[in-house]
Amino acid sequence: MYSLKRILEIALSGKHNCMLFGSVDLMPITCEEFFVSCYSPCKCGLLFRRDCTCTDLDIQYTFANIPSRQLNSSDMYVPINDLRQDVDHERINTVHRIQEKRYESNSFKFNGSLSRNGFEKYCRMDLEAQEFIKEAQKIYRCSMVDMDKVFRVSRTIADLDLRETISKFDVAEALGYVSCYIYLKTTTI
Amino acid sequence: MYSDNLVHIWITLLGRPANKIASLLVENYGSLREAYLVKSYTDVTCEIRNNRLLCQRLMDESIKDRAARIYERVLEKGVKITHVFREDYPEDLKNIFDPPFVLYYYGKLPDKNTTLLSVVGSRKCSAYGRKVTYDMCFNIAKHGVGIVSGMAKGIDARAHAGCLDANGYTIAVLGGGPDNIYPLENEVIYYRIKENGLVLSEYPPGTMPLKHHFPARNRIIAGLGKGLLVCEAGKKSGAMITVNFAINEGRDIFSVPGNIDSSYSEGCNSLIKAGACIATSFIDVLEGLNLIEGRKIAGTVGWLNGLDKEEAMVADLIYKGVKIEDICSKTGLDSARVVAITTILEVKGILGRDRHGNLHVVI
Repeated sequence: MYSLKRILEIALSGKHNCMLFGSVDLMPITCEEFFVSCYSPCKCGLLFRRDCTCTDLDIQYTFANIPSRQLNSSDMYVPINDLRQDVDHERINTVHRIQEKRYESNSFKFNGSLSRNGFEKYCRMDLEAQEFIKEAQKIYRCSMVDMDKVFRVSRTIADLDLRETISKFDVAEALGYVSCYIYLKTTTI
Repeated sequence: MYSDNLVHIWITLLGRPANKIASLLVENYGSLREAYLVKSYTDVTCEIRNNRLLCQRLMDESIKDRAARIYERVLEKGVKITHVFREDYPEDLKNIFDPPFVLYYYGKLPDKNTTLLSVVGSRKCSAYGRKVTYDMCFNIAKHGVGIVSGMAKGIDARAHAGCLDANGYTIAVLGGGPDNIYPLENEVIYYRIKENGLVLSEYPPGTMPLKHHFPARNRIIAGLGKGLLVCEAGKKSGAMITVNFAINEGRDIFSVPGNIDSSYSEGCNSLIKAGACIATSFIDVLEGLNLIEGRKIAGTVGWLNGLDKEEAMVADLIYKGVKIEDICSKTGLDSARVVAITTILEVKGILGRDRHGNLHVVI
């Protein structure tokens, strides 16, 4: 379901911190602005997939060993099982240019460093999306910090489609990238 | 001051069962009001003279004073009253053995068309029980079924919270007066129910929640619902008293299975052994209450209402056990779209995550 190509596209164009879970050994990408790190989520490495046999305690243990700074400051948490694919650099560059234009008057340049007081100004949503996000917050019972991540990522997803207002599907997709983390946090960690 | 309500409160003080006494008085005096005006022994009819206790109480002025005091308190607290002979009295409750003669309540009584489901469980419960109760009640309430419970600690409180979060109709049956919040930790839930649902009690305002009131109010919980859902109950839990009442009244019993080594779920598992319906999802309950037609086509869930074409397609594939990695290739949708659709389905309550974070259809 999750494709690495799409995730890298979002992470590179919005400069989002990103955490990948999978048995594939990927070298972490790090720049000055953001990082993409890769961890094995549990002993067998198959968590979020059907055949994981680890106990709750095993999963707790592995998550306790991930540096909390990295775990909490990522915007996307995605289980991955395919190999790296080439991303469309031209598309990413256009998104970079859009962001530069938008954040001219600000100290930051990319969606990844957008903070809570910028959401009202820059993350405009249509009515359907607003209703959906309210409903989702109830279902997932997620914190405000988790919702910040959703706002940031959905902004980038809308930018990739060259749209100014964020739609329901953008929000839903962004939630899909955070849902693993929200789920783990509320149940096991 | 011979108000209709005052007379009915007075009847409840004469003894139990109040229904029998009321019908006896109506037979002898024509109406309850006539009976209320009886003052001397000469006015008492022959049939009632045989029943010495009733005869004494009928003429006792102190009981009439007590009724007047209760009625004053009712007016003061703004509590509403209904009784068995009125039309707004819940129909299912009227037909049980020993229905409460007078009901004191805040909020609004259920319509004739609303289906009600009683939810019970123990006060001491596990995290599993709390989660399952909340999720089930949330989804059941979304389908327009009202939830009846006892506003106690644990399972009861979660049942009310789930229903209120889904903007559903919920009834709390209390063991004390309707103005008496017990336990106090459920204060927030109490005020929310008072606004959007119904706080109900057979005890007049000001009554303390005494120990022996609770088994008695369990019969009201069992009587109000069309079925009874037992979420998590130990072997000697108070929930099992409610189950016995419900079985005697011929209600359907739904039981949520638990771990076999968990002492919290012993009661539930023994109920299943004895032949109760197994409720592994809210759909089981709705089907048992005849609210939705059965799973129309085996192996698909696309018929669930409120799904568009793409959502139904993805839900069907996950229901069939297709691995999530293969969904993109089977549907021909791109990864971004599939992620979005699964999230929407999760928010709609059709998909859930198991212990290992895997998506599965919650039906």
